[in-house]
Amino acid sequence: MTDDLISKKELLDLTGISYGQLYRWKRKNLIPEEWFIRKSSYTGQETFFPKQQILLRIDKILNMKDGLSLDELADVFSPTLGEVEMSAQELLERNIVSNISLELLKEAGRERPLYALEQIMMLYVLDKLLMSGDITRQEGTLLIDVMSEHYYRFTGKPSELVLIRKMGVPSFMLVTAGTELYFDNGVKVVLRQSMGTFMEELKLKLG
Amino acid sequence: MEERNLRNDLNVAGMSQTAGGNFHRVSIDGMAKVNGNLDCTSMNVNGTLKMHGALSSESATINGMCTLNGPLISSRVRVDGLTTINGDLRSPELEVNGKCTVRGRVDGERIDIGGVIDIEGDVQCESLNVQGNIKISGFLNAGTVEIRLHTSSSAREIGGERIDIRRKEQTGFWKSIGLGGTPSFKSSLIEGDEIVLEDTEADIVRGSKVHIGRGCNIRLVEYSGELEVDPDAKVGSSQRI
Repeated sequence: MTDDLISKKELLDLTGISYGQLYRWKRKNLIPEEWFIRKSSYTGQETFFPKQQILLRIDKILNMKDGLSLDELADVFSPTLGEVEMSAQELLERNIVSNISLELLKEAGRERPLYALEQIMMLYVLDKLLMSGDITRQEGTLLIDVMSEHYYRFTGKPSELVLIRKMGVPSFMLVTAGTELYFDNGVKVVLRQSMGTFMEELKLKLG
Repeated sequence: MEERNLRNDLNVAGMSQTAGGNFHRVSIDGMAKVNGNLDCTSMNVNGTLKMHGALSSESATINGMCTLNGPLISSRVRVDGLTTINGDLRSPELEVNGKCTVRGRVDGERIDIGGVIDIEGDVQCESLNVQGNIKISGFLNAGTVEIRLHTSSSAREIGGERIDIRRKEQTGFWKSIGLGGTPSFKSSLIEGDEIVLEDTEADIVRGSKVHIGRGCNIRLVEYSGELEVDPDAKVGSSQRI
């Protein structure tokens, strides 16, 4: 977690939104409760937000607001899984995953006729990481394992995906968002990304 | 879950103790104790109900006395008697004309308070309308807040779009019982787009259009649009941001 915080006043200044909007979005669950960090400052209690996350989120809300209602937006940002089912063919056609990820899934023996959102999410993450060159194919297999075995445990909760390597040996982890992790010296954290961000991207693609 | 209207009704007239369960219509006319969770279409309490568990009902009307040890989830709640909820209260429509104590948080759309409500947790709703006495120990987040002060009310913090807290001249019932002290409102922080205050004591008020009316005592006002201060109000300092 970065300690980069922004105060409420600065945030409103910077984005030009009003108190009313901010509180309305909070009520609609567009901004998660845990982002409101209360700290005492010289003027008394002040509210702070994780800077990068809140700016990104507000930017998204402002840009998508016209096309979607607030409730639909809340759906996009919520970490819960909706009801979607798609075949491999559809996923390919809609450009959500590529053939490589599907092949990898086949090798791992987890091929299905229809994929639910949870599995589409897994494929999407796999595909994104493979394509960006962050992980190797072998690591992709590990990712498939950890995601299909454990991702369901985080239903409705924010989670992060962590990839570490020690002496070239990779290992994937799914952790609760914001958890502090400490390793011995030989460990390198290759990747740490919030699953929520992936889910938002995916939901926009699916929607 | 089976269709709710195919279930049995639960009627208590006299004294009775039940384990809870799923029912269609529940009506308590005497004294009842429920030892588990209740799930029903409608709940009607005219006597005394003591519940150990969660109550989920499409509508709940409480005219007598009711103590819930668990959350209350309903699409419509009306309290005309005395109710204590040792848990959260979630209902799009909440109307309190008696006295209600909630030891958890309250989530709703429309909340109308004509009596007395005491909430220990946070409150979240689209509109809050108070014509009685309200005490919120947590944070109040509401689209519009309209409070007509009768006695002393408070909320730890308020955030919203329109916040309107004004004095209501006491007449009739409230004046004759003379309870609850002079009309006043206390809060540490009030933030909103349009704020109108009277008889309010607050540490910080922030908003774009702010009116500080008679009887207010505010330490710091921060505003981005316009500020009006009544000569009868005390404002420590004000700052345009």
